[in-house]
Amino acid sequence: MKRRKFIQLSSSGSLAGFMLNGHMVNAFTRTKLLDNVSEDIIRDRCIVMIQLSGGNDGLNSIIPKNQYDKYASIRPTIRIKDTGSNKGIELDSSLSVQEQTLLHPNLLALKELWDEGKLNIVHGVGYPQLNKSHFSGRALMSRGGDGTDANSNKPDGWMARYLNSAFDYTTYDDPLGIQLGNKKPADEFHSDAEHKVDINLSGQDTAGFYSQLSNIGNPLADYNGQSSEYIDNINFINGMEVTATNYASRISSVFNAGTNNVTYPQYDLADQLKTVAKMLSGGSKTKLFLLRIDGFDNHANQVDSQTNSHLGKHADLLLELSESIKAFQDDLESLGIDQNVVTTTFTEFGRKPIENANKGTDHGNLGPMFVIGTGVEPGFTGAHLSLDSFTLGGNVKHFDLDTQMQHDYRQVYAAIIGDFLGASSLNIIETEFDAYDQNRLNLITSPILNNPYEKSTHSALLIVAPNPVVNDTMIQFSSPMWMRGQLQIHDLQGRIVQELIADFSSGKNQIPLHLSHISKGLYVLTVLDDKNKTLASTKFRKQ
Amino acid sequence: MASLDPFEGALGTRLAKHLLRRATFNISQQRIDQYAAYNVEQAISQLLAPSVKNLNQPIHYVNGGLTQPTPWINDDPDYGAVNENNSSGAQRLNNFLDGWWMDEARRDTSLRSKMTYFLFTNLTAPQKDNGKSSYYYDYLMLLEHFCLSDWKELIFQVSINPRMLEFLNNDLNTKGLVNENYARELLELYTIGVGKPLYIDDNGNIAFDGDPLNYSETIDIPEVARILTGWRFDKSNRPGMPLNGTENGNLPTGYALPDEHDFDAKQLSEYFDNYQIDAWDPTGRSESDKKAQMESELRGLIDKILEQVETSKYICRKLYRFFVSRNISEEIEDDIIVPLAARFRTNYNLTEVITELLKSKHFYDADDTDSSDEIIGGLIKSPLELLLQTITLLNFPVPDPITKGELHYRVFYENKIIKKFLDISAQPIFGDVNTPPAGFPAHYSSPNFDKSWFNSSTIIPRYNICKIVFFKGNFGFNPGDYIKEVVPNPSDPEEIVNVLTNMFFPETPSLERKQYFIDTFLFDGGSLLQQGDEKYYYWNSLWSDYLGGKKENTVHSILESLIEALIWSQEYQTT
Repeated sequence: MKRRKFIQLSSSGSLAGFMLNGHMVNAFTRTKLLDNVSEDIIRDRCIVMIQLSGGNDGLNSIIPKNQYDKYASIRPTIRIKDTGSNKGIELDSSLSVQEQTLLHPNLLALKELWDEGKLNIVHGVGYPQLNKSHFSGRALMSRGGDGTDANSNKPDGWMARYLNSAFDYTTYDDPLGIQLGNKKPADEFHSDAEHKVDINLSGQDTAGFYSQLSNIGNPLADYNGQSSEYIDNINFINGMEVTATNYASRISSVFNAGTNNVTYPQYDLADQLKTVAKMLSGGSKTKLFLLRIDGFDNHANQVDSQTNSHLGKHADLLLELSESIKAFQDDLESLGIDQNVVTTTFTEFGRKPIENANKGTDHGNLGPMFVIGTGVEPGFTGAHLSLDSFTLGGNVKHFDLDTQMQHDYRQVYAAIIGDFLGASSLNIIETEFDAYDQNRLNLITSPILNNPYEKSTHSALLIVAPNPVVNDTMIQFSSPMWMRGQLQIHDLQGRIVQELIADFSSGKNQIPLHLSHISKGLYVLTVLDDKNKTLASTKFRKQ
Repeated sequence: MASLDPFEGALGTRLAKHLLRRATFNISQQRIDQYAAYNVEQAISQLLAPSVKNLNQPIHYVNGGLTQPTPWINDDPDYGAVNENNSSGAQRLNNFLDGWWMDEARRDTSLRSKMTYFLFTNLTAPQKDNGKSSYYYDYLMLLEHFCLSDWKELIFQVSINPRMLEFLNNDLNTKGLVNENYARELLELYTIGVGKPLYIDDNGNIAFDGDPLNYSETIDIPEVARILTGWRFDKSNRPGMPLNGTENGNLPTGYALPDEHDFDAKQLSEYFDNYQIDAWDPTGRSESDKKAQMESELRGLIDKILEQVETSKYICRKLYRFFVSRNISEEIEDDIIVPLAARFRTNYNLTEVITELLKSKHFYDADDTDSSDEIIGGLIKSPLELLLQTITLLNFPVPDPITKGELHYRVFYENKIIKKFLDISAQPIFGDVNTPPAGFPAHYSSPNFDKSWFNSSTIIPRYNICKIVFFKGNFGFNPGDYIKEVVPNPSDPEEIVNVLTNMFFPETPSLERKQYFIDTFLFDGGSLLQQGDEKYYYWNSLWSDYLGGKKENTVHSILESLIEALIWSQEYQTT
């Protein structure tokens, strides 16, 4: 089990350099705290997530200065220089030797955020059995999964799970999620639930979104009581129409009510961020904004030339990224709403530490995430990845996930939705991030504190099959020992609809459940041990 | 049990529409009637009959230094030699190429255009808006040439196709300086595929769309990349590229550059039975021997990949999702995919599999007791289908590409269709700089697939397609003439709606639903309906006035709003 191994590593600090990071230590100290968070604190808060699509080259973004010779030897052509007029930017000379960092010269705006204490760089982010396919990798991450059997088949997106768990969309004026920069629907928001929690504004005139929508459309085609793939499609289209029109006037009105106080640079990402800032200043209460910048898959010509390694496709993208984020942060501050927003970047995978022959890099695994905001705990989380095992032309091509992965991406998200958006432990369980939240990362300066999980470290491998459930189903899980435990089924409002006390045997257990009496919808099944601690939980659907 | 046995008897209107929607971009009342009388044998043989093209390549209208309509890609028997002095930049020429392709697709009475587009979803090399449109034309022609024939030969040809070499950097893949980009996608997306979770079986185990691991990440990708070293093309010298032979379409192709090929031994993993290519010493060999060795290595590799059962299943699943349904259950896997893949593997002939599929009882939902719960209307139309099928259902007067070239290429296809409809509906027809080798999410993104076409962003252009494309600008579409053409007795409002819904909708709607269209659009929300026998008096008299040469504007605006409502109906979004 690779995941457990990495958690052990990160908590024992056995990695060289890991002890240098003071932030990790605090994460262990949190104990019994309230689950109830004042609505006032979190009402205006949101997270802006920027997808660096294609796989960002972390090693040319954040360069480990004390391994510079090694770095230069495995990237003779594309390395960012450490001398001369186009050399990398010294991030912070007060850092320890191991933490010394050269930033890509086009990340100057990011350095300014660092200097202002608004940037946390999370090193070595990945997930177990990291998938180096763009599509499979993105699909896994959008669903909060990884490459292990137990986690590769989640049906819905993690954002949809979180939003469904934490908010009552029926009483919410704003769409809970908004997607920009990609006309394709985001898997992150994909939900099997009947209602939609998100809306996609890409390519649309936000100011006129309502007038465009309100001018079109028939009344919903009524095919109630019938069932076929054709009618399922019609109902799906109806649902999309309802969502779009319900939210349309609200979106246009917050957008039109809002303002921007700074001039943004001329980039697509800057436009997306500008839209978000305007909506927020106009009173939007959307919780998750999903943005995108494309083009990071640079197998060739990532840099212009060996001489001009500071120029090229990757350099252009980093300039767009850093200048756009900086303008956004400045705008939020000027608007007086910077306390409410945390911005993060993520990417489907990093790139190989060794350059390829075409001034580019091939698909790799680990890389950094940036977490930005006034309320962000500044500094490093984790340490630079070690380049020791690589030589140009050598056989070792990838970072060893067992020893070098420091953070699971879900650990980062769990910390942010928990400490910044106030997700309760139940929310995090229902987002299916609880396993990655045992030692919460210290990313938010004044975290909203939740009760900690007392979840067994035993891996229960819970399966409900068949799922969706018609009348009968079989629960399969593994128990660490004989005990008298409990199965609980609750609905998404948290109401318990069924409880069953059962004797678990050590090892594999199979318990039949008859569920003909519960109504259609999504439910959470929780397996509790004899001390009422959660062994495992999973969602299933009743048909 | 799902069945590939052929459907028996005449298709009838409902199934004729279904077949035409799925197998072509060209559906009209006349074609529906024609196919309704056919059985599947007749229908499929009709779809396999070659459809003569209007133009074999895009022809530029008179502009810049041109004095007559002139090609810019190849010399043309009708329109003369290539003359690139047309004052249109690369981006515009790419749009014109797309416009030409769409115009041929909407005229195409055969399976050709749908199969070509299917191959684009299988072997996606997207169009770059500033790339050479002539090389992109060659890529499309390559897909078209093989769209109903030898898929194995196509894999070889596409691997050395200039656009593909450029797109996945294989033109940079060199001995000792390997670039893995094409090698990876060849395995992961184009041939054997990587497993994706498909469904949970009765034992609670996850069934994968293919073995979760069909190849070794660490062994096969670098080894395949080595086999692929040394293939080149010249970006700026298309006329200097070798032609791939008349049997392969006689298209400009990439070439072997032995100095940059790795002739050392290669060995694939156990997934490919540890397939070996022995070291070959090029010293003292002739150039042609060296090139032959490179070709034989590449062909050997393709043979080995296509020997794998998974490759045939992976492609058959793609074919199934594109033509039949997004839902592949255990039953479909066992009864449809597996036997179809066995057939495909015998000689990788695309005609054999597509005809078996389109003839099958399963395709017509006729293999179980309920023939209307699956398949028919079970997919969401892509923007391209929505567009081209609407053009053909409306008999829309698309401006002629030669006599009204600028209106045709620049106004209709480039400005209205590409920029104002397809691009914002998330289907820039053959992709753009940001389109990955997997194509559009509808083609790879489980479990939504085709449902990805319809979302809160694309709803606006889709529902507005009439305003954007058809009813704005003066193309001469006359709704009165159209209704006269398709409806025998247009003074009867019920007949109008019966005929139109029968053409436009996959299934017959309820009486209430039809009445909604009658009342709302022909009778101003019902306010103009009369009592009793004279219920439809308003329309009856309006129509007779219209036939008498009066009330033209009123009748046209009423009919336009009815047509628009049918096109933005939820039913019409499906296929």
